[in-house]
Amino acid sequence: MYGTPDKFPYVCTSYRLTEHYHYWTKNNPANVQLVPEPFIEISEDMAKARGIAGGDKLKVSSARGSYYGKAMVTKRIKALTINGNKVFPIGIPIHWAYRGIREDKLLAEDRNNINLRPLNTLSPVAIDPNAYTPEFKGFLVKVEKA
Amino acid sequence: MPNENLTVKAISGHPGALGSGAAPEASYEVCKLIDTTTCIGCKACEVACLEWNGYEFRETTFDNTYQTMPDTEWNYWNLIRFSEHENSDGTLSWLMRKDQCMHCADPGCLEACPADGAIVQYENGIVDFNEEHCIGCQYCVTGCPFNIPRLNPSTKKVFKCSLCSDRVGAGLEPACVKSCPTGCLHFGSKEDMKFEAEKRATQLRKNGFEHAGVYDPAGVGGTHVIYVLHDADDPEKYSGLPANPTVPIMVRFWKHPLKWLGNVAMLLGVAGVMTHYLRFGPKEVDAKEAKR
Amino acid sequence: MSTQTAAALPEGAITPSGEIVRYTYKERLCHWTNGVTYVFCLCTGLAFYSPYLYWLSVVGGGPMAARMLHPWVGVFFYLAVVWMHTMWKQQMASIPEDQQWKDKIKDYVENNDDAVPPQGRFNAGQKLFYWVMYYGALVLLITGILMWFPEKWRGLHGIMSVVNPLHAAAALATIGAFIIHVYMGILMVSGGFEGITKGTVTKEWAQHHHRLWYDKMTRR
Repeated sequence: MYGTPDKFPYVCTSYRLTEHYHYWTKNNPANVQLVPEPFIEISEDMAKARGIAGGDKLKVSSARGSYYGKAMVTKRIKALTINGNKVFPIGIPIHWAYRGIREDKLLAEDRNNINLRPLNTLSPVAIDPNAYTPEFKGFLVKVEKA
Repeated sequence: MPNENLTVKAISGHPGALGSGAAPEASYEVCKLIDTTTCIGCKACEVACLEWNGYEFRETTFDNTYQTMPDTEWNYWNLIRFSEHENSDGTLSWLMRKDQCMHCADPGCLEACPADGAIVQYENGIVDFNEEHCIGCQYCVTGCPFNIPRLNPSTKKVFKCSLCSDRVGAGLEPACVKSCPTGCLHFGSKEDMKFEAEKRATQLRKNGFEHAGVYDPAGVGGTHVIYVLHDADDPEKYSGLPANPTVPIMVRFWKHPLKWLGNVAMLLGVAGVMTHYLRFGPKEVDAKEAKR
Repeated sequence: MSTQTAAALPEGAITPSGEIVRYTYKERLCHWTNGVTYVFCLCTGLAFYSPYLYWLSVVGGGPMAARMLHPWVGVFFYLAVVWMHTMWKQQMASIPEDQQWKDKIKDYVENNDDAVPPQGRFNAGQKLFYWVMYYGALVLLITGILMWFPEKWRGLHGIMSVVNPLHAAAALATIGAFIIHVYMGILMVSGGFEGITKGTVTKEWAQHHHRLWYDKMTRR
C-alpha cells in the first residue's frame, strides 16, 4: 500500500495554492485565469537527470494510483539526502480533480489526456495516531513521461 | 478618465496655461506602498484590478511559472512578477513583485506625449491616461523608463494602471489595496507611506536583511508607488525593476532643446526669406537677353 | 506642330507662343505628387512636433486620423521621391560648373546675376535641395516605419528614444530646405512657378537662369 523505494524512488508532497481553494474554484474564471492547469513541481537537477523540460506531461504513480500533470521545473526544490541516498522530492498542488470550466473544454478536445483523479489517489491510507490527519505530506511515487 | 474630483497639475501636449481644472492650492500627494517582503503572491490584486476596471478574465496557459502571464497588457494592468534568485551566499530567494505603473512625479510618458490632454497628472500625483484624446502614437512607451504603457491593437489607444483615480477621487483606496489579504499594500499620503516604508525597512535591516530599503527613485522625481525591498541595492533582480530609472535623455533632448531649436529655426527661416525679398527683391530677367 | 497640347510637349520644345518647355508633363506630375504628399506630412507632422501647432492636425482630419494617415502618406511621399530619382538622378549629379557657381553664391543671393557663371538645367543650389530631400526622405522613412507600429518591435524599445528625435531632426532639415525652395520658386525667381506648373518659360528666362541648358536644347 505504501510502495517500496526500489519501485517508487521519489518522495511526493502535496500542498495548496493561494489562487485556488479545494476543488470548486476550478469553476471560477478568475481563479482559473490565475492558475489554469494541474502541474507537478520538480527540481532542476531531477529535470536534467530525467530529461524533462518545463511543460512536459508527466504521469506520477504510487502504490495506490496515478495522476497526470505538466512539469514545472523550479530552483525552489532541491534533492534531499536520506539515509545517505540522494532522493528527489516532487511537489503537487491538490486542486484538480473532477471537472471545472477548463476540463470540460479539454475533455471535448481529447478524452484521454485529462486527469480527473484527485491527487489523494496517490497518498497512502495512513493517519497521525493523535490528530488523525492523513499522510498528505510525504509518500513514495514514481514519475514517468506521459 | 478625466476626474472632476481631482485637480490637474500637468497635461500632455498642451500649449500655454492649464486654464480650467487647475486649482491654486495643491491637494496632498497620495502613495501606494507595496511591501514585497510580506507579499505572498496570491494575485488577489490582479483580480481586483480587472473587476474594478471591467476587464474580462481570460484563458491562460501553463508556462513553467507561477506568474499568470509573461507581461502586463492593455487590459491587464498589474501583474505579480515571480523570480527565483540564487543569492551569492548560496541561498535562494523567491521574489514576488507587484508590477504596474509607478506614477512618477516626473512622468516620461506625459513628457513624450504629443496629444493635447491625452495624459493628465493630477496634483495628488496620479498620472492618468485620457483615452478620448489618445492618438495611439506610442511616444509614451518611448518615454516610460518602466516600460508600462500598453497599446490596444484594435482601438489603437494606450492604457495603464490609473491608481484607481476614480476611487481615489471619491475618497476610497485603490481596488488592489482593498483586496490584499496580507496587508502588504498600503495607501495614504506620500509622507505617511514613506514613513511606514522606512519603518519597515529599518525593522528588516535589524532582522537579517542588511540591504533592505525603500524604492522611491529620485531619477523620476520620486514615484507615487513605492516598494519595500529585501535588497534595495539590487532592484534588477526583482524581475527587472530598473535600478536608476530616468526619463531617457534623448526624450528630454527631443522635447526641449530640439523642439525649441526647430521652432526658432523655422521662424527665422520664414522671417529670413521674407526679409531677403524686402532687401533684394525678385530676380529680374531682361526682355531681350544679350548673348554672352 | 503635333497633335499634343503645349502641356504635353517634350523638354526643350518651342511652343507656338515662342516659349520653351522647361519641364515635361511627367516631370511636373512627379514634382507635384512629391509636393502634395510632403506638405500633408509636414502639416500633420508639425502637429505632433509641437503643442502650439497641434491644431494643424485638422489637415489630416483630426489628431487620430492624422496619426493614422501620416505614415501612409509618408510612404507615398517616399515612393514619389524614388520616382523622381529614376527621372533626375543623372541630372542632379555634381558637375565642375557647380563649384564655380558655389564660389559666386553671394552674388546669386544678392541678385547680382551678371556675376554668376552660366548654369545647366539645375544649378548647384537646386541640386543641394534635391539631395537634402532625397536623404532626408530616406531617414524619415526608416525612422517612420519604426515609429509606425512600435508594438511590433517591442525588443527595440531602447532605441526608440533616439529614433523619435532623429525623425524630427530629419524633418526639420527638410523643412529648412523646403522654406527656401518655396520662397525661391514663388517669389525670388519669377517665372519659376510657371515652369513647374504650366511647364514653359520664356526664352529670356531660360537664357538668364539656365544658359547651358538653353543652349543645349536649342542647338539641335
